[in-house]
Amino acid sequence: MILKNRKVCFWVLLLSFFVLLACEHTPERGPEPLEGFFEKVTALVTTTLRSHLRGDLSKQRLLEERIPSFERMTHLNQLTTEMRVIESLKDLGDLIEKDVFFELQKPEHDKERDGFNSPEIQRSLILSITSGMKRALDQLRERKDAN
Amino acid sequence: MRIKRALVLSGGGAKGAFTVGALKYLMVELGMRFNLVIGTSTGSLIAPLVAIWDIANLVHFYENVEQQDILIDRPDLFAFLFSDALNDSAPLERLIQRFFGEDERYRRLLQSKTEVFITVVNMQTGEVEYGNPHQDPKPVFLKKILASASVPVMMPPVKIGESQYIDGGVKEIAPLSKAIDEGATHIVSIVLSPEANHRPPVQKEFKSSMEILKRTLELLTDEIVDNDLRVATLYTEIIRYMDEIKKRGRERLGLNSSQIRGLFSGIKNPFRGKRAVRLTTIRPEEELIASSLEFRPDQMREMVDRGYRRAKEVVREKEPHGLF
Repeated sequence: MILKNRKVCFWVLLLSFFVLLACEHTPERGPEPLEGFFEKVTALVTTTLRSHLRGDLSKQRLLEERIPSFERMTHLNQLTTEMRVIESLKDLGDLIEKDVFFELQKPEHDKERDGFNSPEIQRSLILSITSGMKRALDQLRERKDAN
Repeated sequence: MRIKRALVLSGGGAKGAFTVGALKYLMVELGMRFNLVIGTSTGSLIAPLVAIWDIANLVHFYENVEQQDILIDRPDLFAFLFSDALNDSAPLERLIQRFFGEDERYRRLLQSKTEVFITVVNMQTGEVEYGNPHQDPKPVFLKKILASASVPVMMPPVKIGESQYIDGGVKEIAPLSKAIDEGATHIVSIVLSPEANHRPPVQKEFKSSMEILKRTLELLTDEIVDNDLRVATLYTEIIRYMDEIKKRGRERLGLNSSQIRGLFSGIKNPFRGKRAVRLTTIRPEEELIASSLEFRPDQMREMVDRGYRRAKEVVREKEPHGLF
């Protein structure tokens, strides 16, 4: 009798296992596509800065110190001019400008292109660039911490 | 002669992050544009976004995607006994739908001046086939992207109509021959493994059947990519050699064009109408990571940066001739 019960239990468990496997539900995961101009600028700037600053601690420190003052800027030109003044950040200013104009030329960003010099767009642009700067530094720091 | 610039993107799973870094440099910083982009496996996930210049989403995807966003492990024994693959690729299928299936982005792909081809292998015929957004209906094209990225045994084949499709890399990892057939005059190919003499021996014993299977796939992959590059290089060298023979015939023997054509008449010329291509290959100098199915954001970001730097070096080496 006990043996028979064990057999039943075994088959019930096995059946439950297969039912659970069949019903396995996978939640929505992974990155969502970026749609807006500003979030795309942040993504490009993050990659540009991380690629250039990897392994260069003095440049990383210098950029980190300057971010609060960059955040107060009101126009892209002001930001890149400021970066060009600092010898070791000079190239980065040019590259950030390339990131912005690469994204800006696309047909889907006609609104940002048309109103490019407006204070609202310039303000959002500065914030998206400085977010990219912070993110690049965070990612470099994460890696260092992991090591 | 009309210039046709092609970009050929090889397979390599997570190593595709290296490609993304290289493209960030080529397209955003150098402003390079392509008439044609052909991708295999991870390259097929990249190709449609290249066509719509969506480098921001490429870096975003490859810098943030994690293992479980792509694959779900199936218990090994269960998978071996009862299913068609060791992993479930449902999460990747959803990501493809999310990144490529959205109507506005797909419309941009259809309007793009860059032609896109992705390679898949038909398991029934054994032939390489190509997915193209103009030739395939949208659901078929999206399924072909998934199929192109579906490494056999690791991921299930994708059923389209009566056939099952798998990773194009089984037969063509760097689809250079397709670029040549499409009339490319200049090709930039991004390959995700180093040259053969830069691949160090693996210092361990492979004990489990899974380890042996993975290592075998790596060896096959290296062999296919080497052959793809060898064939494309040889093809160009033969055409250049034939052009040189014709030139010397004119200069040294004083033959005119019709006499030179006469010399070749009656011989079947497999290169008739073909042109030599200028091929630039960007590949890592050392192995990127041990397993191409390991998706770890910190590691992927490092590979993006390596791709970016390597592309810059290759472009500098190519100067003053330039890539194009």
